[in-house]
Formats: sequence, structure tokens, C-alpha cells
Amino acid sequence: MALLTVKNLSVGYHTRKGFLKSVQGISFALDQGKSLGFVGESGCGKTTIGMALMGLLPDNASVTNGEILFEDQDLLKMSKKEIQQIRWKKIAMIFQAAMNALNPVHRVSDQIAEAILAHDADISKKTAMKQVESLFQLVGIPPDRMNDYPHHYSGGMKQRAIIAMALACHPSLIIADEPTTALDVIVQDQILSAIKDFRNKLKISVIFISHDIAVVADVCDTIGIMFAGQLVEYGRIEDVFYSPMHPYTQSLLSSYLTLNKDVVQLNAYLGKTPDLINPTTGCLFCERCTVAEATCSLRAPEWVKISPTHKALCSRCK
Amino acid sequence: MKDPNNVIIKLENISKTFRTRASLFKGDPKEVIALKQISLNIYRGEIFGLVGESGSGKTTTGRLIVKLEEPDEGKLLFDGNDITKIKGKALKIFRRKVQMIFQDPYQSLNPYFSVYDSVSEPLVVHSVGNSKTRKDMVRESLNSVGLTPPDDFFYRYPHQMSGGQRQRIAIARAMVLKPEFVVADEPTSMLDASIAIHIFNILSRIQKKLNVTFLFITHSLAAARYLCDRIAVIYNGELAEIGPAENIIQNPSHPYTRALIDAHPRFRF
Amino acid sequence: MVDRFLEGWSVYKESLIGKIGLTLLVIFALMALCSFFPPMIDPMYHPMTGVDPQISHSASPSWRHWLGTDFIGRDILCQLLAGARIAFMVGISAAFMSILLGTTVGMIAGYSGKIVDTLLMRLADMIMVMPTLLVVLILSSLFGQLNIWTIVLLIALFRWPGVSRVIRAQTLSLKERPFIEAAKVTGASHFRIIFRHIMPNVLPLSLLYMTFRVTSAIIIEAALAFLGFGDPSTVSWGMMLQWVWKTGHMFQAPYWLLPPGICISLLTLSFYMLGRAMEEVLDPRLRKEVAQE
Repeated sequence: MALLTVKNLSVGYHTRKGFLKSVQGISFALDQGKSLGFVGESGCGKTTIGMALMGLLPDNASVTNGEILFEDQDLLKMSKKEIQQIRWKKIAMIFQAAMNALNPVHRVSDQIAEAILAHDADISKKTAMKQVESLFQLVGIPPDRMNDYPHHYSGGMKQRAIIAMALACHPSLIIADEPTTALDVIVQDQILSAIKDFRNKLKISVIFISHDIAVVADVCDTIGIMFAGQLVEYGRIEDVFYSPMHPYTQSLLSSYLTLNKDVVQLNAYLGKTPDLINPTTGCLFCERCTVAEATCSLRAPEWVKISPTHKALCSRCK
Repeated sequence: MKDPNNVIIKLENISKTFRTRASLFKGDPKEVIALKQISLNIYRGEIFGLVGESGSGKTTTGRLIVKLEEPDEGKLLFDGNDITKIKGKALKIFRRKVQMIFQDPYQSLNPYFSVYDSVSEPLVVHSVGNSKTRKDMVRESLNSVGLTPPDDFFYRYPHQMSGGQRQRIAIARAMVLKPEFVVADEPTSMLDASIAIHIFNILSRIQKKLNVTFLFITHSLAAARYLCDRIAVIYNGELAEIGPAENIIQNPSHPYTRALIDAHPRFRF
Repeated sequence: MVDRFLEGWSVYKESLIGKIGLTLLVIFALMALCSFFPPMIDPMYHPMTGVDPQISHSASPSWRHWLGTDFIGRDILCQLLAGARIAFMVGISAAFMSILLGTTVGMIAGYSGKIVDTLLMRLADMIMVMPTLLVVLILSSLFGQLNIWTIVLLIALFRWPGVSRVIRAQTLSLKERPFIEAAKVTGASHFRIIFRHIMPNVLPLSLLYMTFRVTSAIIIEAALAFLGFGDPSTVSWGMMLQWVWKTGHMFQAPYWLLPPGICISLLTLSFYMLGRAMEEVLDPRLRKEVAQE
């Protein structure tokens, strides 16, 4: 039984220019202990998914369709109070540049202990502090730095403290939204190792959101490629990377720079993000697609099952 | 490509220290040594990569070369001339030949300037051309960064454009005077990975067409490998290694370079 | 830029205060424009010199004089309309001049820093603590009746420090922004950076403060006129109030006393409302960056 099942989720934002359909009909499932990555460029809707899962959508957002079944309960049907019980205890989130979320006037250890105590009134401060110690060990912060203030920490250490805070209440799912984007390569590597570590040791499920496909490849078992609010390809990492089917996936993979391979060919046009307020009926990727056919712009593409663990939303892959 | 007899930029024992001010929460004022006796030569016509992490001093190096900062010690030479302390007219002449592309495309364009205003600004400042020839020069510059048809973009404003488009405007602005040397300070770190390569290709094309020399500052060794002829790795204000790009990556000699290489996400496929 | 203005306008429209303020302003502007017509219809309607041959005292409203007449038979409504014109002129000119001065000083102080900044800001402080009304009163008692434009100039000279502080703060933060550094690298002179690059970014704030300055300018002028230090050849609302008071009609002629007072309050209120609604438009939180690659 999957830990998290999302069925046909659609979310939009009320803007001055109209209703912006940010996420359209997303479905996926995640088992306990597994990790799933969402990759796409800015504006593709991946962050909106994360916020919807946490119940942290802004006021002008509305969920127009779908279910989010977490441990068999629909999160969308819960009251604010019920969501608050789940948030942080069962589902925690690590934001981009969340290091700026640390309060500069409190010690780091105190802040994490506070998070623990806020969600579990029964334990004593002493027990909480002991938990903080073990968390720091898990994320790799030396114990003698526990009682420092945030400004004594480097960017990487602060991000690790944020991860410790997310782990504090032993959640079953962590949503990491661009957790390493603001960090240098070496620090990024350390953070990714820390994430892989706790995923393996504690069997925590991870949803990893990023615009950087190589980072996601490093951490996740399954990957979902997003474009203009839709999932365009979905499958196990090996399937998607060895045989990318959707033209967008192919362009993402071909434009990624590595130290060992040469960039083969650029196969996408730099185009505009499609209009999400009045999207066309055909395929949304048409304008930027190098292999589009005439019918692509007229009819919405359907899911093509390439293998039991791999599917793509494209009329051209049969 | 690279002309070994023609050093366009030379840094000789450059040092720079920043002093932070004391504040209520931060305790004593600290001294941060950004650069420790750096020396390097950049040859005309090459794309030279400077790779390092934040705090390594790479951005400071770029800023010193375009004279947004002054070095505390050492000499800076452009085309053999000592430009360490130039001011006034000499500085203005220098500025015509040396330009910069900034890291944050969301902040490096004046929100009240149209695209035409931004790209033509260098022409106006240096009194180049008249209103008709300036339009042509702006068109040429916009074409070279792939913003076609250029006239469509003339009267748009930054907030109407994406990050990638804004960065291309910034490149067009830097190139409109056909400078000899351009510092590109992490030009893609605020953009999506999929856009980055388009920007690199634009820079590469421009380099070949105008034979301009680039200093490409980045934290990504992979990007430096793709774009650059030679790379210098900088760590804690000092140069760890310098050499041809492929050499450094295949046979790194400095432990820091090795650490950087190991840390890069590996594409196992 | 037009579409930016339209965007700002659509935000402005949502504010109730903004709509009320703008409506009131339009009404007053129409009043000011209409002030030219009555004397053309009949010379007796001229606010200063138009005397009704039939009435030579303060009479209550009638069909000939919709708001009645003042103590020598001049039509009050015409005076009110003329007063609107004066209020706009004084308010906007004084505000404009003080903003011009304040913005320039603020930008130069913020951009230059160090000695120039300190000197300019100390000067601003000194002027700011002086009570404007009192000083102008003293000056007019020393130099006799002041011409309306002199009053405008004096108001401007005393009111620029407030806006200069705000503009200076704004300039300080703009100075460090990459697009200003880009201007430096391009080779722009300090003068060009201040007036071509920084100024457009502080102008919205200047305009906002201008609306607030208008209110204080109108009130100061009205106070001066009321106290008898205004320009006797101009009919302003403050002047009207002075006449009511001086000729002892305060409690006998409400049709004469109330209109100018109400107008002063409403006009200043409407400019204030305009300013408040504009604040919402200019708030950076509304500045959305729409990604559209």
C-alpha cells in the first residue's frame, strides 16, 4: 500500500489576468522509503505540488480537482486543524534557501528543540535536547557547534540544521524543494549525501523538487518530468534516463553539462512558457518541440505506456 | 584563439581584504582576506574560467578587473598598461574596452529602462553614433544574443521578460560597444539548468565572431569545461591550479580540485 | 511603460479610498475649471470685483446667488470656485517645488555619502525643526503683505527636508543594486547615474510624497490667509474665512462660513486618500515577475 497517492490533482491561482492553471491532472504514487523527484523549469508547477501536499498553498490558490491520499486519508478534505497535526509530524518540508528561516536571535539547538516540543508536549526539554544531539549527528554537524547562533554557521551548515529540524518529529515523508540550489557544489554533495543517508537509515520517503536533473538523478528512484503544469514523463530513473521518450525530457538530458560526457546535441528551441490562463487544447509543448506533427497542436496527447514502470505523455511515442 | 604573446589582463600579486563592521549581533569587526597575492595572465582571444566556491574570491577578482573595487596591494595591467590606479578620462577609455555581465538578471537591468534604453546606454555614455546608427547597433547586438526580431524587443521592459531573456539583454548591453574583454560573473547561476546551455552557446558564438576575451567566473567545473580553454581553480583567496581545461579535469593535481571533481553529481547513465 | 501604468491603475481601482479620493479631486478640478465661466456670464459674478448692484450686504442663498453673497455683495459660489483654482495652484506648485528640491538633495546625499551626505542632512534637520507657519508669519510681518507666489516659494523651501530623508534612504539601497554597478562599469558619470539611472526609481516615491505635500501646502496657505497674512489680491478659501471672521459674520452667515471650511477639509482629504491608494500601488509586494521563457 502506497504511503502517498495523488490522483488527478489540479491547482490554480486567481490572478488579476485570470485563473492560472498551475498544475493540471497530476497523478502519482509513492511507497514508504522510496524517493520521487520532480524536474522542470521555473513555472512548471513543481513547487505548487509541494505546497499542496503540505497544505501551504497561498490564499489566492484553489485546488480544482483531485485527491491527495496520505496514509489513506484525503488531505484535501481535512480541516486546518487536522492538517496542522499532520504537518511537520508526518510530512515535513525543506525549502530553497531555508537557511534564512533560522531566527538569528536564538541558538540553533534551541530552535530545533522548540520544534520538537511544539509537536510533542509530553517530553521534557532535556529529552528534546538529546534528540537534537542525535539529529545533529545524523546530518553531520559537529556536536560542539550545537549551541551556536545561526550567523556562526556557513550556508551548508544552516541547510543541514534545517534538515535536522525537518527530521525532528520523525516524519514519514519529507518534501525537499530545491534544497541545494543556493549552495556550492561541495556543500551540495554533502547535503545530498545527508539526504540519501536518512532516506536509507530511517526509511523516510522523499519528494525532491528541482530544476537540476542530475541532482534528482542522484537521490531518487522515480522521476517525474514536468512541463507547463503537466507531468509529461514518469518512470523509474533508469527507464527515463536510458530511454527518454518525451521530446522535453530528451532536451533536458541533452543539455545537461557533465564532467565526463560531451554535450551531444541541443534539441529544443528556447520558447515561451505556454499561456496557463487559456491553455490550448493541443499539446502544450508543441511550440518548442522539434518533432511536432500537425496533429499535435490540435489534440491533447494521451499517456503512452512504454513499460510497466515508464510512461510518457506524447502522441509521437508509440 | 589564444595568442600566447598577447597578455590582455595581468594580475600581479593582487591582495584584497574586506573589513566588516561590528554590529549588535555579530560581535567583533572581522577582517576577511578575499584575495592573497594572486597573480595570473589572461591571453587575448581565450575564454578563461575561474572556478571556485562562494567565499573563494572569484567574484572579487572579477570586480577588481572591471574596477568596481580597488586592490589593497599589487598591480593590475591591461594590454601592458598599469591600470591599478587610473581615474577620470583614462578610466572612461578603459571602461569602453572592458565590460561585465552580472550574476542576477533580475537585478542587473534598470526596471525603468526599456530594452532599447538599457542596450543603447553604453553608446550614449561614450557618445557613439547618432540616433539612427545607435538603433542599428542595438539591433545587431540583440540579434547576436538570439532575441529576434530585435525591433519587437526594443520597447519591452524587464518585468515583462523571463530570466533567460533578461540575461541575454545584459549580454547584448555588455557587447554593444564591442569591448575587448568581458567578465561574465556566474551568468547562469540564477537560471534554470536547461537555459544555462543556451547562454553558454551564445557566449561562445560571440567570442568566435568578435574575438573578445572572456573571464568566465563559475562554481561549476562542468560549465567551465564546456565553455573554457583554460581554467584556474581558486580556493580561499589563492589559486590552487591553472591549466588547460581538459587537463585540469582529467589530471587534477591539487586536492581541492579533486574534491570539486568528486562532488559533482555524476551522471551514471 | 503604458502597460505598467495600466497595471498600477487596475490595482488602484480596487481601493475604495482611492476611488473616493479621485472622485472628489475630479469634482474640485471641475470647480476650478468652471471658475472662469461665471464672470463671463455677468461681471457681477467676478469673485473680487463683481458686486451685485442690487445687494450690498451679506445675503442668504437665492436663485441669483446660489450660495448667497458676502458682505459687499460678491457672489460666494464664484469665490469658492476661484478658491479651488488657487488651492490647486498653490498646493501643486508648492508641493512640486519642494519635491524637486527634496528629491535632488536626497539623491545627492544618498549617492555621495560621507561629508556631502552629512552636511546636507544636517541642513535638512535644521530646516525641518523650524515651524513653517511661524517663520512665514514673522517674515510677512517684517516684509509686509506677501505675494501668493512668494508664499508658495516659502512653503517649498521649508517643506523639502521631509521628502529628502526618504529619497536618501531609497537612494542608499539603490546604490548597491547591480544595475547601478552596471551603469558604473559602462562608464556613466556620477551625474548621469544619479539623474538618469537612480531618479526614475525614486520618482514614484517622490510623487507619492508630493500628494502629501499638497495637503500641507493648502493648509498652510489657508492658515496664512485666515490670519491675515495672505495675498489680498487673491481669493482663496482661507481669505474667505478671514473675511467672514473679520466682518463679524461668523455666526450669522453659515452659507458663507461653511463652504470654504468644508472645501479645505475635503480637498486635503482627497489628496491624502489619493496618496494612500497610490502607496498600495507602489508597494513592491505587488511587483510580480512573470516567468515566460
